[in-house]
Amino acid sequence: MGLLTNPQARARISQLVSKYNNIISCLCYVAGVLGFLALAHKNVNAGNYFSENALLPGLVEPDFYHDFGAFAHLRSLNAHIRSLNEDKSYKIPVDWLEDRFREIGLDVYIHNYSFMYPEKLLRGQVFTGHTYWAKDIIFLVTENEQIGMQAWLDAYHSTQNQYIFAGEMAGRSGAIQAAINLEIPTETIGRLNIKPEGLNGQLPNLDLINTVADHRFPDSTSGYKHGLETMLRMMWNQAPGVPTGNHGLFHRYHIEALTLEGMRLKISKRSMGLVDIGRVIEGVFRSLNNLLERFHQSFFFYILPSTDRYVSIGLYMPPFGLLVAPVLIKISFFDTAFLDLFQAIALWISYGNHKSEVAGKHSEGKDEMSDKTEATEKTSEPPVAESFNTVISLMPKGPDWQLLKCVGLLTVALLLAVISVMNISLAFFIATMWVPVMVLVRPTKSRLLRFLQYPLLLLVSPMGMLFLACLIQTTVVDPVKNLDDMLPNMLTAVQTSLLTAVIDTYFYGNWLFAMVTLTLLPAWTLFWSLMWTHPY
Amino acid sequence: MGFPLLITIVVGISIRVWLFRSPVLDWVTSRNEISSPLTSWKRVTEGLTLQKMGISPYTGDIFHEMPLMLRLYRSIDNFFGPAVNICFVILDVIIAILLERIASHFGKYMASTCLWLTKQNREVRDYSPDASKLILRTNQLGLSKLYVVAVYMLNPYVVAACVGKSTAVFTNLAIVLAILYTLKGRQLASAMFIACATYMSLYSCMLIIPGAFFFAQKDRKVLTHIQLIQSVIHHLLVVLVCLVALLYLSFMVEGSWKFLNSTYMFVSDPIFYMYLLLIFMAIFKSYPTYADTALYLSLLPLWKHVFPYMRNNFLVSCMLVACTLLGPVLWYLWIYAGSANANFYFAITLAYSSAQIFLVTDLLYGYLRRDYDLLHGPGDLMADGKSPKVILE
Repeated sequence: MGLLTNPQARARISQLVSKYNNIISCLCYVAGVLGFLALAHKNVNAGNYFSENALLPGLVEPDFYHDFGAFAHLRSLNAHIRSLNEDKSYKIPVDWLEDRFREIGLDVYIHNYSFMYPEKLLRGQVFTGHTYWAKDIIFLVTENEQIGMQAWLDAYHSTQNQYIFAGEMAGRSGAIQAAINLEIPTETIGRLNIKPEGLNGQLPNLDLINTVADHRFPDSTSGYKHGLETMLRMMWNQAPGVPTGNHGLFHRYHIEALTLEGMRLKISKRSMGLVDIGRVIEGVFRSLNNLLERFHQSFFFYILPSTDRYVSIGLYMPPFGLLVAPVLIKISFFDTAFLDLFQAIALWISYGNHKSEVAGKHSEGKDEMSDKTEATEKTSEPPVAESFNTVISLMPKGPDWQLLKCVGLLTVALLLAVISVMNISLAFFIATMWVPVMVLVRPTKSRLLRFLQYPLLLLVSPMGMLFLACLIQTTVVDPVKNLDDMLPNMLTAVQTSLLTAVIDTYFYGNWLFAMVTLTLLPAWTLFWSLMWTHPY
Repeated sequence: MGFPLLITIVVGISIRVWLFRSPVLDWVTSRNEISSPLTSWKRVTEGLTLQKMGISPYTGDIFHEMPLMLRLYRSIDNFFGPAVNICFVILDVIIAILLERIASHFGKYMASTCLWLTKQNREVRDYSPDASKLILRTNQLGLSKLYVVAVYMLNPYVVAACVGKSTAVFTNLAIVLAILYTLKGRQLASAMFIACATYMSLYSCMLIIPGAFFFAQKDRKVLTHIQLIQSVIHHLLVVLVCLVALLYLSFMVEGSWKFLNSTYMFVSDPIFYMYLLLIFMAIFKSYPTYADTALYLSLLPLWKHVFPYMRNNFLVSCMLVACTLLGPVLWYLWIYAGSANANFYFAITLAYSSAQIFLVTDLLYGYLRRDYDLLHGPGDLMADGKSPKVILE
């Protein structure tokens, strides 16, 4: 409260800030970016640990020592699919799967849904040879990837989707506690990739990742560079809010879920077979079997630089705050033009440039800017025509561009704050691009400066960022071998990502498209129009 | 009523009608910032249905409104049927018109009653010559009307409360009527509406005290303590009778004497005191909603002359906007996503209350500082060239 009530201390601070505001802003930005990247270093982040003691990882005697006929199943499945695909139908061999599951002794249900294609799903209770299972285990095979998964989830929870008609479900169990999604492309794989990123950037409870990671094969690579790469890759995947696997749709139903993706072997150093994967799955399920309540301990907001280390929300928020600080500093630098909230409201309503008769008497915390808002006494009630003029005069001419910039910076700060609590990765990438540009943009008489501002602003526009993201995707994250393919690949990526964003909005409730069009685009337009206003 | 006023009201109505037809309606209605368990229209319909089925609405834990209100809601329901939305729009327009009347009477009150202007004319010799800019002129007093109506009709909080069909609007209506009749000097009507407001929402009983002060000093040049106490007792009795008439328990008579001493400094301006109480009620009541904030924000322009002395407008407005945006997001993360917990949302409600407390302390400071400057002049610098430091004790 001292700062709020003591005008002298406030004046001193605001003088300091307005005197060195450029240097401070610059320092904050650089410190923010570097601080965020430094989070990948093992001296900064913390080692993973189990919060939920009930998981008791690794305390059971594993039973999964031989392949239980997995190879035989796989071979016969492959043969079956080959025979099916002779007539080019490319459908899931539902009957075959049903027979085999029944053979093992599971209850099998087939769930049909309509979207465009029919969909079949199977569910069962397994490991009938053992008495220690305290929970039902559901084996789910879906068609059409995420659409199938969404249909099954909708049917299981009796929720409605406007575009996917889930239909009725025959077999149902209780509340689902966790889900593991398997993507195993071959018999022998090099390593297992844990993919936690879900819809709208939501992450599963860190304890689930710990449980899986505890049964993993040891992480051979370490060091800062590898950690940074892993962290940035995870943030890159999280930012668009598109699930990286079928698991991403579970999070919305309070089900912790992740995908285990088997990566193909490049160099034959070490290989895992189906037995090893089976052992990992068994370990995870035995741990989950011990759970008494939902996952509620540990963290939901984190970034992972490796499978055994994490960066919690308490660690990544301070650098992010520093990153956004220049925006706030610039607002406080401009604040004298905007101090009178009611004046701004009045502008919006219908009054003319009514300035309070003693506006110049804010004796506290002022800088040179106050000269421009010097009191103009105007008390007569303006006619309606003038009130429309006032709204038009909000399109700033004269010194009012500072007011517009102030509102713009405020919008950006609020947007980033809101996005950061939902999806820190997205907020980080937007902030790194927007903060310097938005702080620098101003109307200018110099043609050179204006031509320098065009490309900068265009680059950080929503479309510009989409292009940039696709460029990074095709060159750095998922590089194409042939350079000639790069440009067409990138353009295709731009088109598909736009279309996917819209479809995802309707099918799964992804917020990205709505957020960009309803909040980011207007904010950006504000700065674009700011550049076109008269400088003074 | 001027043309700008009419336009403001028409624009306000259009926004409301448009929102009632837009898809956000369901979301707004279910927001707990807008309608709490005490003020939700959904619960009113539940109560009406229960009553229709011959079950007492008070048997369960669903319905929390008073029995007389239930009668009122039933006749509203009968009259408007499915078009009950219109009723809320009409109520908002009525409140806006009443607020316009309040602003107009407030101008007269400042111009003619025992306070500011006469006081300023009478005591103008005491004032510092530098204070001439601070003295209110009659033509400035009419300005507040449009501000008040516009802040009510176009305020997102008010619009949200209206579209969310919060029954707090009825309490607001009673409070607005109470303030209006106090300013008009109609003691019986004022007391009746304070009793009505108290009946609907207990916190409004605090408004009795400033009302009593107002009527005690009305038409009196000199006020003795005995006269004051007599008058306060008289007013309390009137309110009490009204409350009893409304079948309400008379539990507020006790404790009211305590306010007398601790708030004596406000006796010079009971309306300001009444206003501060409105803010305090909005901050500290259980289950606060935007409807409570919206009411006092609408009346804030009445103290337009104090604004230049307020120092945290910018901070407070930023805090309010940030809380309004972050509230639903953290609620989502807590209830739906399950990734955040109650503390995240609690932190935001705390920040929201803090913003309102900053606003009320700032307003009080500005009010007192203006009084100080009237006497000593708003001198920018002291003899040694430094800004003077004014300490509030």
